[in-house]
Amino acid sequence: MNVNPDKSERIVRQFGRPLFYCFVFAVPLLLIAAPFASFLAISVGEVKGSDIVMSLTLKNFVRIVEDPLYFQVVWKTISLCLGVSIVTTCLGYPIAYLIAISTHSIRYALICIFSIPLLMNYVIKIYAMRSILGGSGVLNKFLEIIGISGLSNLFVFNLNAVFLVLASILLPFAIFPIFIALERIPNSLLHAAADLGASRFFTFTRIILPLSMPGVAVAFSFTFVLAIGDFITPQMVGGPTGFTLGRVIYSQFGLAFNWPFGAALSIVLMTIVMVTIALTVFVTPRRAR
Amino acid sequence: MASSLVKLRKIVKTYGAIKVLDGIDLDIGNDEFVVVLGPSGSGKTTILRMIGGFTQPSSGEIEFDGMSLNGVPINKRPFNTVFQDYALFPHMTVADNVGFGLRVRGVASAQITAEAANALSLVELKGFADRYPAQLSGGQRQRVALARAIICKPRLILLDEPLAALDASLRRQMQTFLKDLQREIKTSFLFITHDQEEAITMADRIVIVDRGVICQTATPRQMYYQPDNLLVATFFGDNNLIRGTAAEVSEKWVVVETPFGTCRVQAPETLWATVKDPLCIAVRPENVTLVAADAAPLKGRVVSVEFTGPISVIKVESHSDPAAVLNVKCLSAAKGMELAIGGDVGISWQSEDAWPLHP
Amino acid sequence: MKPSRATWLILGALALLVFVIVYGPIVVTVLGAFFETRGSQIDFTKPTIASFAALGSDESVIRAFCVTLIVCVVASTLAIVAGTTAALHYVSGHSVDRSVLQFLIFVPFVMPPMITGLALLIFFRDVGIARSLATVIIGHVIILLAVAYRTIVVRLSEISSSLTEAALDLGATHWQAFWLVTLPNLKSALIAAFILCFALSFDETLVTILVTGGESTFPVRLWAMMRLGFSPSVNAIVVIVLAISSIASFLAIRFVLGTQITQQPLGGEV
Repeated sequence: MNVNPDKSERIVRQFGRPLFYCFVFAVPLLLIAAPFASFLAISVGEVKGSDIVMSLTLKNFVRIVEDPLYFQVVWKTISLCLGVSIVTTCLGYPIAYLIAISTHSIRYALICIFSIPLLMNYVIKIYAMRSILGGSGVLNKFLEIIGISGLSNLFVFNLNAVFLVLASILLPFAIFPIFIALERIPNSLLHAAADLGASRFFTFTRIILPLSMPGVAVAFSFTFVLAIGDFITPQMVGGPTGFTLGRVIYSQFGLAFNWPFGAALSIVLMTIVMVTIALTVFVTPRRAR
Repeated sequence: MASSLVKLRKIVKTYGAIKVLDGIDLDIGNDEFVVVLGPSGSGKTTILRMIGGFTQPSSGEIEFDGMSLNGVPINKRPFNTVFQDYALFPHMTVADNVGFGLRVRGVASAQITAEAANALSLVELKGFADRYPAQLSGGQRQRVALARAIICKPRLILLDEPLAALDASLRRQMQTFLKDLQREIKTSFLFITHDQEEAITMADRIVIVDRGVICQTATPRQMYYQPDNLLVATFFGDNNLIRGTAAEVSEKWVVVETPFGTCRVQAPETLWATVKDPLCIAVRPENVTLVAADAAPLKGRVVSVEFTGPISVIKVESHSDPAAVLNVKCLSAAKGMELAIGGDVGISWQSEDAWPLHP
Repeated sequence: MKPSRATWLILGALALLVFVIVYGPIVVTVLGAFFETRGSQIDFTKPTIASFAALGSDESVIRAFCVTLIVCVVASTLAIVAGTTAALHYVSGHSVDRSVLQFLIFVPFVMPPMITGLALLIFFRDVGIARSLATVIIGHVIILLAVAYRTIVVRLSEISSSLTEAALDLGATHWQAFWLVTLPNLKSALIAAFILCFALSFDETLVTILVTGGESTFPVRLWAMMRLGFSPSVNAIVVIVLAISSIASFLAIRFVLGTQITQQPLGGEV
């Protein structure tokens, strides 16, 4: 590596070192590292009576794998969230593309329209969906009107409802990573393709789509992580059968009072999230990172 | 010699395995315009940054007025720097920029305004006080940076390639301007550059640095006509380096056998030579005169004559060694005789124009 | 190459579909605030603003709103201060611990908020801190830290280091250099960071639910109310919150995205 010594030590250290150092690291260490450490610690404990005992056991993890109930929940949750990600990404792409090819004022308007929901209160969005999904809600009415009344209870308070709600809430989150990736494609590439005789379709499938893949990967993993970590949605619209991993974990810390087990389940959740992120980074070609 | 303002002794700077400066000894006097000249990567900027306090030497001493500066932080050193990118504070007006040094010292604001106005008129930017750096041209920003450095009346001003970003004609203007300014405010300037023309024009004294070592410290004239070594000899403009062997060595003279003949050259005190030592004679092309073939002890054969406008360049090769070629520059209008390609000529110069050095 | 008419039509139709999906439920709820409802049926013949009136007298909601405002402001400010110190550290050196610091900062943001909340819950119990407003603020700060840090560090890296050097060279102390030179240049980033943090904090539900003590924030209060079913005052709250969110969004877009939007469209003319 060529180091230009004249420029190496350009940066001046700010402030008195030791004191500043403490200051800088205080928050992250105390409030981030420590809690996560104790989190990991408690997962190897267990509940005895009404107390939590640190007995360094792997019982909790074993239970997750062996007990069909919990194992099922994990798998159902993963497939549900994968489904949500696929739907939101597929629907989000055309919208992102639309924004990308629009000019000035239309672009601005579209961005405003589709990003306002991002900052809207999360709980309200679920509530709003719930009012539609109920047995006498708008969606059901709609299905009745168009004559598929046999399906009338398809979406009422079950995992399908969870799916629908998550998809509608997470759609805006899928749009923007894709948009940013599309934005980055230099126009000169597209002009070159046209110059060489490529049709619009060809340009899209062979140039735009592949180059926007990093953004798609981000959108996918982003919505996946958001979906899988949600426990409010299943709780509010899941009804008695809509149990996702998130909801199960939450109940461990509530009524079930099995914190170690809950922690173990959470570690499973964390692992899924980390694997997803790692896969995304892995799949993204180096030049686009 | 007058006592030095700033002294660097045996300065060494290493970054890991890389030695950027290897034993630098430098003196800067009062009211002196010193130019540190060198190619990029030579360590010249590191010298400046060390004096300013932005880096610390790995070993060695820096003294100011007899007191050691080692460990003294940047803001306590009585030097101010003009940065290569000017480093003007974009959120402050020109006047606020210039007055910054006084402001941090707690000077009363009425006084700051007055002194800032003074400094601005010194750099010929009167009336620019309320503008913002973004509204100024490159040259104007440069002068604001200067005013900002002058206002605190430092003993030494450090300039880090300040003219590098300016176009050619503006550069020339600024060179004259800086030189005049320095004379007017009587502060020492330490000026870093890689441009040899700039160095020769502006310096009271030039320090040439290459690969972390000082090759020579001298006035521009001395450096041009009396280089210490090959690097310095070829640094400025065209130079002839005639390779030969020492035939006779005396206290004041050296007789050198060259492919063009034998010549006697005055020997500087620093030249240590014994008989049979290889020596180089440096003669500037404009100092070589061509005469009739039998009128001088040195002879050669004309290879080419190139007309380049006011000056003509004549190449003369030696009879015995065709690889030894001399460049001669003379005014095109002043050729006293016809020069035929392939013809024999005599080579002559004033004895003080030839300078011996070790190859 | 200009996109074909067919492309515009298809994309437009899809955009409309997404628009309906995303905004539909919200429109329904808003309507519910302005008309009388029976259960979840909206009676369009009877417009009313009774629900808003009821809101004015619902103390718990107003209280929750004030609590939320306090939490947002305090948490955002703390996050920005912590983020700035971390950013300063990042920009000023080549040390290894920079990467460790960044990793630590981003972890709570990347992990599902529930995990962060649970981790805090366990931690507070271990250390013996009772859940209260303070713990809520702490939870918010941890999540906001990543956003604040990222916004500030990007801008800070752009500010040339020679500005700081110049300030020191002219005799300023480190603190003076920061206050007089670095900070003014950071202003836009700090404002953007504050707006983002505020918006995120206002909406923060998952972590808050887990670490809240007696006092609840606005989203948590909403959640509690919603578990009980539909009520007109909830719809009224929704309208108000949506109005605030929309305004905040406009501000955020103006400040944060600002000039980046008006650029060349994809495949457009040069």
